[in-house]
Amino acid sequence: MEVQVRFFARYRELVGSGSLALDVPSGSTAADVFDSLAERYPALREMRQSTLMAMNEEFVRPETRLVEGAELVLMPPVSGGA
Amino acid sequence: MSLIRIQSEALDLQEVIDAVSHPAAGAVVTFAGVVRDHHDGRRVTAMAYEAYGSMAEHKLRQITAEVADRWPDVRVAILHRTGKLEIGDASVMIAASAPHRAEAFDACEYAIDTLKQVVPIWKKEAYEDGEVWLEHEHRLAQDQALG
Repeated sequence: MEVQVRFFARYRELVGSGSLALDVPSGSTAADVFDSLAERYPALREMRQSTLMAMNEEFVRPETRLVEGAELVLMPPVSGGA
Repeated sequence: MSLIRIQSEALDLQEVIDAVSHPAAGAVVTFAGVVRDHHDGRRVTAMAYEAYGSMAEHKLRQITAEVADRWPDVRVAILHRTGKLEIGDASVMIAASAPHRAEAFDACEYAIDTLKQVVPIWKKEAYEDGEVWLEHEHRLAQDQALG
């Protein structure tokens, strides 16, 4: 199934794009998608534990399952404010 | 509805004050976060903020709802800026009003503390010899964001 992945901040720069489409097996979790991307972009690997994931503008846990056409957002720990 | 906004234009403290002021509010507490010229001993020359805008406004809206739940008499307004900021520019402004000051101080502090944990905004610090994304490094980042 195809899913969309969006990136912000350092992740956007590492991937070189704000978003991409990815073909993953049906039933894949957010963590599976991350791991698939980390194979293509090895620099992501070390960020696995601190990565924030979101769908539909809410944070989700890595074990959350995606459906066809879902949009997963990957981002580093936030650092807004002052 | 509380005033919340992510914007690239300069922030105006009077706007958040006006948004929460009303005749029964005897206290208005404000917080402004400002770009400073140093970090960990390095000289900072500028700061760039990036937001996941729609989700950031959604999370700000949740913060104002949480404030309303915890302090029913408090009104709060939050503005956050994005883009390149200079030293001394405000990146965030918050105002909280209440009949008495204790609740206004508490709600204002709660709003900035929570913003720094859950609102998807990132800053990149520029130095004289390069730039670095700042990320809260604690291992509990995911748990904090998930609440």
